[in-house]
Amino acid sequence: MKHSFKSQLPFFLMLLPGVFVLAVNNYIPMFGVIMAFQKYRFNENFFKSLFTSEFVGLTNFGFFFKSPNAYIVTRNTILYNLVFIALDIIIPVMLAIGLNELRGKVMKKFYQSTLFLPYFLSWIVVSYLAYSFFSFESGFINRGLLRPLGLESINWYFEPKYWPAILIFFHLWKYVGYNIVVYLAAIVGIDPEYYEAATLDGATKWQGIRHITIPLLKPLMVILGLLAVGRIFNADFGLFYNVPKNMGTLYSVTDVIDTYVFRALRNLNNVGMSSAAGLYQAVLGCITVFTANLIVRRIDSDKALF
Amino acid sequence: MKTKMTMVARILVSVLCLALLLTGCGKTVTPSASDSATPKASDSATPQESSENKPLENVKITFYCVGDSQDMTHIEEAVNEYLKDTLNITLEYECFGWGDTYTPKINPMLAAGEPIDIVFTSNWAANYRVNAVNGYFRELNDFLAKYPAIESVTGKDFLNATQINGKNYALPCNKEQAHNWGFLLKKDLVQEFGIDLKSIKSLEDLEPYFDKVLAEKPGITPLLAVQMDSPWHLLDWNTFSDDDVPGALYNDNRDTKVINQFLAPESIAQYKQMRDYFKKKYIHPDAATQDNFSAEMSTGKYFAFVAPMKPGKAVEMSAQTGIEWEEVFITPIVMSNREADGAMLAIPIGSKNPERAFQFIELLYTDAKLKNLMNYGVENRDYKFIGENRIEIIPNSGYASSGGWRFGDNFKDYLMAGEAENKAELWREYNKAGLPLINLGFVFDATNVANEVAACKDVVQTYYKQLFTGSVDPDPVVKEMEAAFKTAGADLVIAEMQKQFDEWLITNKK
Repeated sequence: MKHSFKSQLPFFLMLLPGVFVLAVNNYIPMFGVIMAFQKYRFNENFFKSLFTSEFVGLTNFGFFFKSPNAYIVTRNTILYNLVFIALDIIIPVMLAIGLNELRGKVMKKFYQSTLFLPYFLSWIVVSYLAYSFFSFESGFINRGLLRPLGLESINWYFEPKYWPAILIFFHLWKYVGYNIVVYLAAIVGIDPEYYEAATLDGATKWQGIRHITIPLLKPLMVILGLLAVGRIFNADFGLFYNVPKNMGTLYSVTDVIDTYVFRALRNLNNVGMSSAAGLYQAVLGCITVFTANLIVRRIDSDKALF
Repeated sequence: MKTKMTMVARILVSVLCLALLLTGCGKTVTPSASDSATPKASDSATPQESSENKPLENVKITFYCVGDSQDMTHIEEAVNEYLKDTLNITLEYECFGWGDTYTPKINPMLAAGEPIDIVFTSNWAANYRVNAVNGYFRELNDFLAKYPAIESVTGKDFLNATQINGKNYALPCNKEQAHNWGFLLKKDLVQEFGIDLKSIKSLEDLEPYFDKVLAEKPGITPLLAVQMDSPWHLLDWNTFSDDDVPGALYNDNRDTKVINQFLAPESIAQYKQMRDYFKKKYIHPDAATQDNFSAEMSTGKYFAFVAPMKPGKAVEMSAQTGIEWEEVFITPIVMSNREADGAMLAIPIGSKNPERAFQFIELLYTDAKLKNLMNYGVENRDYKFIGENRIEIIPNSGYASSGGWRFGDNFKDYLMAGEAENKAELWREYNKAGLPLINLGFVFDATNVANEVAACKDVVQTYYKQLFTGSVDPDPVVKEMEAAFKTAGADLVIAEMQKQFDEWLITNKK
């Protein structure tokens, strides 16, 4: 480490805005975890309230485990996230490789933009889009497909069995385009000389993909996967709350920690309990990401996150 | 070559990861107040009042209310112009929908101590009692002593009915002081079918007309049921807490035993009746997924709706929805905690100009012109006079009144076309007819069972929509709900209510 601080100054300067954003958005709010152990009572301003509220220990954590749904909610959160983590790697990588092989520049851009488009839609908009498909009386599927075919209409919002597939579909539909861009950028960064050398040696396109592209994408897949694992207890609130229209009949398959906490607490305005739920998710998420990283390091220490 | 490649790849990867992380932060939606709270941390300024002698300097007054969300700019401008020489405020007036839409927006703002000056609060929106006890609302006793006008309008008793431990945290709208439930029926159909409104005494009496609607009026659904705004209200449970918390008495003072109203035999009978109606197509197949009764009523595609009643309700709802209605009273008139707590304005603790906010609220009780401007909009744009104190709403003006019962003195509202000349008289009679319920004035303190109440609310939220609209077969669902209530601790909640209520009965023996 011979580099003096002075010679590295430009790099530190470049780091500054990022550190600032991180500190403001992620570090300063961390003081808020105190609220999880308090009976929060507003007192003049937020910071003063933090110091004057009464400490109540772990009582705020109790409500989550009181719920008859605590198990279902946790199970749903983890299972959906596991499926999302796997599919968010497999499908975008496949599509990114496919798009990269396309020769027509115009069509390539067209496909990429089309796939990217849903990413910019709010979940609220998506939920109405979904409703126009699934509504019993006037939904497209019942009115446009099932009834003309002489089949019986399905009351989608009362049939939990269809919803895991529907939710996974909407998740992929929304995020695939975004993930493709990430992988596509990494593929473009691969040195073409590898492929040239491979072709000279008589490798087929498929072999090139299997032995060059995928191995070089692996570190990125592992890192993105690990980051997603860290948020395994945090579900995508917009998806799980809005798309099933917050229907009680579907809670067995659509209720996740975030929606449960939101529903239980939005009417109570109990800040302490909300913070407790948030802290619970963060601590469990932290434990999972460390465990996952440990496992990755055991297998291949180069690919671990830290 | 290889090292250079990996370097580039590494940088690329880290940049992408950072981008991913940052976008990840940006779109997280958590209801936790800590996010929204932080940026507001600097609002530590203590309220400083300008003295009365000097001309008042202009201040901004933010007013958030329930009501259909619409463009308020021209109303704000008119109010600012009208008060320029007296109160001199810049009003920021906003409506955020009704109960379940309004509450989740207001609650985090209150918890964060945002500088809002006036908010609507009640037992069904923005949880008045919870928020007052948590210290989110300013105590108003000193202002009430300094400015006695509001008390002279509402009377001391009505004002005191909203007190918590002898302190006023909000100002109740001066309006009818009793309630009952009944039907709003679409006027053109009532006339076409020649329905004698006096013959309608219960939900069953409407059944032949429901059949008639189905047979003769394709596209019209006989009965509108949206969330809690459904025939459920005809049972009129005398509840101890919010509508989605178990614990209630019968509304005829027959005993003092607290029961779980969601599992009572009357309720289960109603779930079955609703199931029957759902199968007969009296209720829309998509009912359980609808979420705004006001918007549904405005479509004109419904025949009957269960609503809270008072003399003149139909005309009021006609103005709100643009569809003409007839009213039919069904349940007996009672006086409960619901009324005084039903519509109030509070001054949040974050307000920088509480005194000016209070003066503005006072004007809503004393200044008829301001009250009507806030309610009906601007003269000759949103309404026009057709008599001395009587107006006609101009349709599609871009602003529709969401109801004069939300704030101030409801008796000062101009009469709408079709409203009885002696409306105030009718209201007084209505108030007199009300049976005072035995728990009038009792306040349940949920502190000891906060976890159980939260869990019970979740149980109700899980099941009520499909049961109230008859969308599911009630037998297995009620069993499921009963088990869920057990795990959630509904019995503890009810036992706690019973205990507090029994103690209150002894100390307040009338």
